[in-house]
Amino acid sequence: MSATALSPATAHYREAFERLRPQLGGTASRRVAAMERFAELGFPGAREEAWKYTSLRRLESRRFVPAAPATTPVDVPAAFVAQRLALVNGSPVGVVPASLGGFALGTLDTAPEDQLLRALGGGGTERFAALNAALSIGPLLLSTTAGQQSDDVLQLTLVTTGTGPTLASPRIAVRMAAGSRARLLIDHVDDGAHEHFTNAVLDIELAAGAHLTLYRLQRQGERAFHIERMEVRVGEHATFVMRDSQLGAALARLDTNVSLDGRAAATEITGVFLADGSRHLDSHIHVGHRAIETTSLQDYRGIAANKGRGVYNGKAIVHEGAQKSNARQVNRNLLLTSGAEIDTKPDLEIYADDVQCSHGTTTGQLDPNALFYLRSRGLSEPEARSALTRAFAGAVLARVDEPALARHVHDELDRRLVRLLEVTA
Amino acid sequence: MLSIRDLHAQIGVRKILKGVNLEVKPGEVHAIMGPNGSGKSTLASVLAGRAGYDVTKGTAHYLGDDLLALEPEERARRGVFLAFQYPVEIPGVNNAYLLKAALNAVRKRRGLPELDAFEFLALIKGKMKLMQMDESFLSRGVNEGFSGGEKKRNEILQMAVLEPRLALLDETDSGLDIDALRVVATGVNSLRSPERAIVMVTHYQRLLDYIEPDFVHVLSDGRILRTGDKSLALELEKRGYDWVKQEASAA
Amino acid sequence: MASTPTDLDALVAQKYQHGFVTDVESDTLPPGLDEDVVRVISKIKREPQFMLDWRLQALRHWHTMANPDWAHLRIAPIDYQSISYYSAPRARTDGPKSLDEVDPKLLATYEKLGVPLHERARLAGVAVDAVFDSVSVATTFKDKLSKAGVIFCSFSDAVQNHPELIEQYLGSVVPYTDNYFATLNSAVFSDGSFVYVPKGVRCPMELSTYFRINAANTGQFERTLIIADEGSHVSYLEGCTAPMRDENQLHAAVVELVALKDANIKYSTVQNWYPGDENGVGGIYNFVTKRGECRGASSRISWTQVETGSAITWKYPSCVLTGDNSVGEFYSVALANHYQQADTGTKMIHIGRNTRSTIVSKGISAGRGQNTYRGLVKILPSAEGARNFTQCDSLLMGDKCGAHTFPYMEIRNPSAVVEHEATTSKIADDQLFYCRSRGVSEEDAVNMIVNGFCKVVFKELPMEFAVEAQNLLAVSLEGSVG
Repeated sequence: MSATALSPATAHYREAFERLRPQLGGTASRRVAAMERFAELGFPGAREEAWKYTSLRRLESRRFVPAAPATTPVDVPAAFVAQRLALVNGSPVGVVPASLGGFALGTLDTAPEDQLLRALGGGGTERFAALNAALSIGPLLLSTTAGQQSDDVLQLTLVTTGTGPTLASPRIAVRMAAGSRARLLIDHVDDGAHEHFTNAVLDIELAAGAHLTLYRLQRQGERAFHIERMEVRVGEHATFVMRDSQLGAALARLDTNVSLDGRAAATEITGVFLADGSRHLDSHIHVGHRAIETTSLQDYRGIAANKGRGVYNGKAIVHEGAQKSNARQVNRNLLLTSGAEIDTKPDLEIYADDVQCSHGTTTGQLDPNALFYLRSRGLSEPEARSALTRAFAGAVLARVDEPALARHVHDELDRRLVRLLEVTA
Repeated sequence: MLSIRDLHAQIGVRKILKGVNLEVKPGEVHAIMGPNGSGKSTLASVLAGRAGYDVTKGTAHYLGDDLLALEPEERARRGVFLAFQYPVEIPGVNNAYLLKAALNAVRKRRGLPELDAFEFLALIKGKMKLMQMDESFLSRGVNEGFSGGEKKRNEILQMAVLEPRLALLDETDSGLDIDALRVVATGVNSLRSPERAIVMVTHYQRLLDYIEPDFVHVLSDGRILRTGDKSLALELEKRGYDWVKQEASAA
Repeated sequence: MASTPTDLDALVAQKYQHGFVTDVESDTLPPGLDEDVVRVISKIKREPQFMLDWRLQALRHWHTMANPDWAHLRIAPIDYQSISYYSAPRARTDGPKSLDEVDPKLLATYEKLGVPLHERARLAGVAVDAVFDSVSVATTFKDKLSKAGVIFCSFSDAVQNHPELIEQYLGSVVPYTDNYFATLNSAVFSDGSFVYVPKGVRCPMELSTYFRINAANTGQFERTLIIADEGSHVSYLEGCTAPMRDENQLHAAVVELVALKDANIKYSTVQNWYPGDENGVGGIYNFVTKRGECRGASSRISWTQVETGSAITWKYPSCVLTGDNSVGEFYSVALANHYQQADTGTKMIHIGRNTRSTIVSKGISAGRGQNTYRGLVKILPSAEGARNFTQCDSLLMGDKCGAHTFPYMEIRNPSAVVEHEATTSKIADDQLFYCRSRGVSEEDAVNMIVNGFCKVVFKELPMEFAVEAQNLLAVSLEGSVG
C-alpha cells in the first residue's frame, strides 16, 4: 500500500515509529515488517464483522505518542501476591531478575527474538498485534522448565503512564515446558491522568501436559483505551485456565484465541465484566478444537448499566477430525438500567460429528421473585438488588482461587454496584 | 436355548467377564446375582449386542446360532429382549410409534402379517392394563420425562408386546418402590411360559420374592462362582457375598 | 409419525421425484437485464405507471449494490446477464379465465406434483395458486373465498383489480432497497400470490401456492403479499419444486406479510427445490427475503419452514414486532445433505411493548452438507417487557458435514428477557441401540430419531404438510446412514 493511501491515524503511528526506531531493540527488518503490516491493515472499517459492535472512531481520532523505554519507577497499586514485577509502558524498569514466581524471565537481550516478537495473524486484532510488535519496547519472555511445578503466583502489573496521551505496547510471551505447572496474574492499570491507549499482546504456548492458570484483571482508568490480543496454543493433555475480570477502561477489547492443538488439550475460560458508566467492554473468546478429545468451557457473566455496553462474542470451532471433542459456552448478562446495552453472539462452527457442543445465553434483569423474597425478609431494594447482582457475578468469581485478587474484585464490584443501585432504585 | 461358554469380555483394557458359563433352557427362569461391579450388567449388554464391549474369548449360542455375530436388531427380531437398567430417553419419538415399528419388525421376521393401527391398539391396550399404565403414555416420547418406575414398567410393557423367547432383565427392580415392583413382577410372571426363558440380573434378593427363579447364579469378578436354587438367594441375603468368594477361592 | 418401512422404501427409490421437465411452449425473454427488460415485463403485465416507476427505482438501486458475501456459504459467482428474467407458458388465449382454459400439460404437471389444482383433487378444501416459472397459472376456489370477502389471486391480477392495495402495501415491509436479492426481485418480479383478508374474517380454508421452476436458464422472481386486516386469521402454505438440471438456477423471491391489529398470519413452507445431485452438480440457488410486520397491537405472525431442497438456501423469515403485545414465531427444520448449503434463520425485531418471540430451529447436516443457523434478536429501547426464547439444535450425520450457529442478540431494554440455547451433537449411540434392540433397523431408527428431533416443528405444520415434510426428510436423508 502506498503511503499516500494511509489514514491520518495510521500515518501518525508510522511516523512515530520512525522516530522511535533508534530506541527499539530487536532486528530492524522485523520491526519494519510489523509496522508495514499494521499500515496495510489500518484501522477497522465500519462494516468489518469482527468490529460489528465496537467502533474505534474515537480511538482513531486520537494521536497517542508511543512510549519510549521507561527510566524511572512509578507508583503502582499494592501487589496481590508476594512475587511481583511492574512494567512501565511495557518495559521493565532497571534490572530484570533471572527468575521470579516460578518463571525464568528473558528480555530481548537474553531471549530469542522470534519468540518475543512473533507475528500473530488473523482475526480483527491482527492489525493491533502488528502495531504492538513494531512498537513494543520491553517484551518479556516467561518460561518454565520441563516438569517444573510451582504453586507461586507471579504478578505482572502493567502500568500505562505518561505526561500526555500515551500508547503503551506491553508484550508478554509465555512458554510452558512439558509437564510444568505455573500461575500468572496480569494486572492492567494506568495513571488516570490522561487518555492513554494500551495495546497489549500475550503470546502463550503450553507444551504437552503443561498447566497454566492465568488471572487477568483489567482495571484501567475511566478514560483508557485498551486493546489486547491473547494467543494461546495448547499441546497434548495440556490445560489452559483463565480467570478474567474486566472492570476498567472507557473502551476495552479483548481477543482471546485458544487453539487446542494436541490430543486431549483442554481450556476453561471464565470471566466477569462490569460495563457501567459509559464503559464499552468487548470480549471475543474463540476456541479452536484441532485435535481429538479436546474440551473447552467458556463461562462469561456480564453486567451493563447506565450508558454502558457489554459485547460478548464466544466461538467454538471444532475442526474436521477433532472427534470426541466437547465444547460448552455459557454467557449470562444482566441489564441493570435503561440506556445500557448487551450484544451477545455465541457462535458454534462444527465440522466433526462425534462431538458434544452447546451454548446457552441469557440476558435480562434480576429475578423479580428472588427480589421480592429478599425484600419480604427485610432487605431494602438496593440491598436486595446488590445481593442478587453479587450472587450473579459470584458464580464465576468463586473460581478465582487467588484470595487477595478475588477479594479485590468482590470489593470493587460491591462498591460500584451499591452506588449504581442506590442511584437507580 | 442359550448356551454361554467361557465368555470373556472387556471394555478397552479393563477385563470384566472372565469365563462365564451358562445354560438356559426354554421355560426356565434364571437369576444372576452378584455384588456391584461383578459384571452382571456387562453380561446382559454383551448378549444384547451393545457396542463398546470386546468379546476376547468364548461363545454364546442362541437356538443354535452364534448370537454374538448378529446385529442388535436381528437379535431382537429373533426373540432376544433386553429390559434396560437405564432406559434412554428419545425425545419426540412416541412410545406407540416405537412399539408398533418394533412389533411389526418382529412379526415380519416370524412370518406373521404386520398389524395395522387398529389391531395394534387393541393389542396394546390389554397389555397396558396389565402394567397399570395410563393411555396417555402412548403419545408421550419414549421414556421422555418418565419417572424411574415408569421407565421400568415401560420396559416390561415392551416385553409383553414383543413376546420374546429369551428375556434379559437388567436390574429391573432397582429404583422401584414396593407397589411398582409388584406391578412389574406381575407383568413378568404373566409372561412365564414353557417356550420362554427369563434371565434376571439383580443385586438384591427382593425381586426373587415376586418372580421365583428356577436357578440362582452368583457372579463375582467376571465368573459364576456358585449355582443353586432359590434358597441360595436367601442365603446370600443373610450372609452377603463374601462367603461365596471365600469358598470359591478355597476350592 | 414417520413413514413405515414400506413407505420409506418406495420414497427412497424415487430420489428427487419432482425432477421432470414439462414440454410446454414458453414465451421467454432473452437472457440479460437492463431497463428495457424491466419495461417489457411491466408492459407485458399491463401495469400502471406506479409499478413501472417502482421497478425502475429498484433496478437503479440494484446497480449500486454489491453481491453480499457475509453468509457462511461458498457460492460460485452468478452471472446476472445470462439469466432470463421472464418465462411464461404460451397461452392459447389471452390468459386463462378458468381451469378449463389452462394448458392440459400444465395441469398434468401439477397433478404429478400432487398439487390439488383441480377442485376434485385429493386435498379438496385447500385453495391453490400455482406459479409456473414466472406466471400464475390458476387460482382455485375463487368463488368460495370471495363470498368470505377474501381476495386470493395472482399478483398480476391484484395489480389490475386492486391497485390501491398494492400501492399501499407493496414494499412497506421489504422496501426495494432492502438487500441485493430483494432489490433484484423488486425490479423484475413477474408474478406471485396476493392475499387480502378483510376485517374480522377467519379465512375459511388454507391458502396454498405451489411454485415450480421449469424452463432452463430462467430465474424465478415471484412476490407474495399477504395482508391480514384487523382481527382476521389466515393460514398460508407454500410448496416448491424444480426439474433436475445440471446448471444452477436462481430463485429470488420476496414475501411480505402485514398483520394489523389482532390479526393472525400463519405461513408454512415446504421447500423442496432441486438440491443438485450427490456430487453437488446443479440445483437451485434459493435466495429469498421473507418478512412480516406485526403492525397492529396483539397481532401474530408465525413462520414454519421445512427446508430440504436447493443447492444453496439463504433465507431468514423475519418478524418486525411493531404493535404492542404482538407475537412472532419461527419454527424451522433445515436439512443439508450431499453438497447442499443452508444458511437460514430469522430476525425478530422487538419494537412494541410486551412483544414476544419464539425461535425453534432444527438443523440436520449429512454427507458434505453445511447447515448454518443465523439469527438476530433485537430488543429496541422501546420494547418494554419484551421476551424472546430461542432453541437451536443441530444434528450431525457423518464426519464430513458441518453445523454452525451464529446467533446475534442485541438488547437495549433492561426489562427484556432474552434466552438462547443451542446444542450440536450426533444421534446418540444409546438411542440407536435402544431402537435396534427392539428390532428396528438402523436406517429406520435414524429416521425415527430424526423425525422425533424435528417433531416440535412438524407439529406447527398443517396436517397434510406435516406428512409431506416427514416423507421428504426420509427421502432427503437417503444414503446418509451407515
